[in-house]
Amino acid sequence: MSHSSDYGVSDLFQDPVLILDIEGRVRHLNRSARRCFGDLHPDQPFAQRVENPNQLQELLRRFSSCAEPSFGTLETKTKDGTSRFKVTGARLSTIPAIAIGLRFSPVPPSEFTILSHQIKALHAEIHQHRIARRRLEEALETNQTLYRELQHRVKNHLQIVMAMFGIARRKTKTERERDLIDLFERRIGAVAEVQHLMYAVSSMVGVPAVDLVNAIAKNFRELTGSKATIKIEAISDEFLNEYASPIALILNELLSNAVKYGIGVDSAAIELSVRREQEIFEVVVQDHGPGFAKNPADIRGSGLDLVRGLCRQIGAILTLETRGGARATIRFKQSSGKRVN
Amino acid sequence: MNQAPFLMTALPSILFSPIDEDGDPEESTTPVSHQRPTTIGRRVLIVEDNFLVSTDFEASLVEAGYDVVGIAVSRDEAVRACEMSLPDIALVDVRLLGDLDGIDVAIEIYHRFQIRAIFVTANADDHSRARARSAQPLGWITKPVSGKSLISRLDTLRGLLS
Repeated sequence: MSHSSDYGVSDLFQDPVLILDIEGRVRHLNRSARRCFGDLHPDQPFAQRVENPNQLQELLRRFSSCAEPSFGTLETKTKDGTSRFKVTGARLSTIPAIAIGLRFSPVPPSEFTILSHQIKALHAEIHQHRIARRRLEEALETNQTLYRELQHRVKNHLQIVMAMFGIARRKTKTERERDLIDLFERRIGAVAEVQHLMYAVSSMVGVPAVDLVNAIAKNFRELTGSKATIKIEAISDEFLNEYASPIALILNELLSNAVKYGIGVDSAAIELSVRREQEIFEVVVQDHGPGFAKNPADIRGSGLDLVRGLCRQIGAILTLETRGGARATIRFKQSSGKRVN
Repeated sequence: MNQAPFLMTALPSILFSPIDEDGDPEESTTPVSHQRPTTIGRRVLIVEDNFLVSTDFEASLVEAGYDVVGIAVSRDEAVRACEMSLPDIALVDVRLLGDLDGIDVAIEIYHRFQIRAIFVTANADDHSRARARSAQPLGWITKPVSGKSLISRLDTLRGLLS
């Protein structure tokens, strides 16, 4: 065996240099190799410091066959972790035993390596995105199921309320009691129509004005048995959800008044219109009866009290006038402030 | 036994009577008609598991001159009522007592008895409508619906039978 001092010249290299025997045991290492790989004892298998011992074995077999330098790559465990090296190797001597010199040159990250790392990172990110998307889809599905279930419960509870009104009506003894129950049933019906529209339309913020007024007119006709002609003219804008219920109730009351104080349940001709001028909505219910009392203070009734209160709730201005019959106009601006400027 | 089976009565008062535990339809003394009446669409079965709702529907139908052949709360009761009374129309809620829902019931009674259903439900979504297609329903009425509106729509929909 050669003494390590035979290879002292290896200290002249700045790169790590190792002298190994054919089995891969350490015979010598220069200062740079010591700094890079840490202390390696004589006869210690260098295979302990490489990622793939078979790769080392293959390199040693190849280098041992020739005194001319040849090349390869090897991933080794260094003090700083695992590094990939370009290895230049050659057989140095055969007597008394084969000694193989290996010079380790750091491999700078090639463009391909950088790209590989980027692709790997991208794959990891895509994987994370897929997991996140799956979780979001599951959460969305759960929320949609909950939303449908909630709507279903609300509708069923409204149905129970309406059934109780129906049962109560059959127990009434006077016309006045029946009228009162009918009135509340119509109001609940108007709210139920809004609830149905809110669920049926794709928008989460409002309901189409034209659908709302048609639904309220239908509800009114069905519940009163009225054959009144209701001419509807409505824009395609939406009523925001917070306005929809009050407007539905207002329309319901104004229609009731038009039939009650107009010219009769069956022959009344009522015009119902929804217009918008810039930001101001204008809803008009017009009948062709005798009109309102001359003094606005005399225009009373639980229905109109409700209309006034609901107008106040949505910041609307209510105008009651006699123009070819009773004409009720509400004007409002849809905003979070709910006030007409 | 002299008491009419629960499903066979259309009288609102009987709704408050206890269900005959031995209510074997074969023992009923109530005459059962398997002939469709001349006034098509007047004999109605209510398939609804909510007591208050079915009570109101039944009373509204009777007031409007319909003949309510029974109230069923489940698939089994509905099929039994159809076997015995052969109604013209079944008003069917989608959610019922038991494992089978109203759509299963509507499909079965259409294929076995050619009875058309009108769904009265809060559950009239596209998926339900697609499932119910083979029952050839006469229509869908969305809950909540008042007794008066129910009659108004039923009057219209039963016209499709003729």
